[in-house]
Amino acid sequence: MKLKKKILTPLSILFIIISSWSQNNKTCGEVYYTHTIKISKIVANDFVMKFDNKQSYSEEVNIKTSGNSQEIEGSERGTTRVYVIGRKNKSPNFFYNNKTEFYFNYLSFDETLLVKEDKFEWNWALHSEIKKIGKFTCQKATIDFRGRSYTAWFTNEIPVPFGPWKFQGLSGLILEVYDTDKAFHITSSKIQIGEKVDCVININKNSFKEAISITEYLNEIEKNVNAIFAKLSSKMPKGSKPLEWDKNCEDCPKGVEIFDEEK
Amino acid sequence: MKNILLTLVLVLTVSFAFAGNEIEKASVVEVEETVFTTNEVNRTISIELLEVPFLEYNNLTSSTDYISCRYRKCIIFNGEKYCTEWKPCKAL
Repeated sequence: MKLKKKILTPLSILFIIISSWSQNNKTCGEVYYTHTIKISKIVANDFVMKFDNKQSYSEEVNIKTSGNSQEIEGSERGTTRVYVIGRKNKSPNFFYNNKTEFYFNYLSFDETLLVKEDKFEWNWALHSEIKKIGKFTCQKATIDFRGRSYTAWFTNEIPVPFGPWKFQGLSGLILEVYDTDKAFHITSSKIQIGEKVDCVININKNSFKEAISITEYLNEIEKNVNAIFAKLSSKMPKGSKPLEWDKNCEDCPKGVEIFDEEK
Repeated sequence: MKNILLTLVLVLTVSFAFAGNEIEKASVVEVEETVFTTNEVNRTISIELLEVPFLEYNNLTSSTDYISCRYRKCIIFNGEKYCTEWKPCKAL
């Protein structure tokens, strides 16, 4: 009995010390990001990212729904008519990263796609330039990803290898990132660390078993685009030829990810 | 000599007159109809503008006022633009 006490007591003390040390060294927090796409039109979406040392989960918030509206613009050579369709599917886009795997949810027209991202070597080039974002000192890093060259600003004051959208792999949290054309620009705000934050990341990982690959994801998008044009064709006057997607459209700007020009 | 000069002036005047009309007739009218959606396409897309009203533009009142007209449809989704090929407008 005395022997048990002699072993158990120091073990218990050791356990308490290790636990509290782990807690003190656990970094967790929450950051608001705005993703702005300026390509054919300006699109902005807000995300809240929760993170700790092991994982990050970024979920879309402030999902805007708007009624149908239309704009008619004149151009030098003809007429452009633009319809803006409001969003009805309120399922949020999300990005989940646990350092070994990456999953994201993407709304492709009517369809929600859960995708497992390909492995990518995040070989960032570090630069000596620094700047302040809020109260955090950030260092510059650059990388090429899916056809675009990006600049990221990250802070080692928050030592987690995570960032917004698909960006990751630096020694600190990424607070801002943009490509050279500023076609895709992500900024951060409302950064909260530690005690004030609920550090629990709730996500149903069982659903990840149904995730499709990037190749399947690209095929689904192509299928959805063709389906939309087929739908538009069915409304055309009788005798009209069906509408087909022109994949070689020269004046159609590329999206954020350019898969056929991966660097 | 006088006659030659007068003829030349007449030919030049007529050429400029017709040249002006040819430039107008060479105008290309393009109509692009774009459906822009944030993340979802409404199942009840309006089809009213599928009747291409290109003749409303620039006071063109007949198909002889232009020699080339084409149109296409585009969809912009999450910043990416998808378009059909340009097709000739139907004469009304």
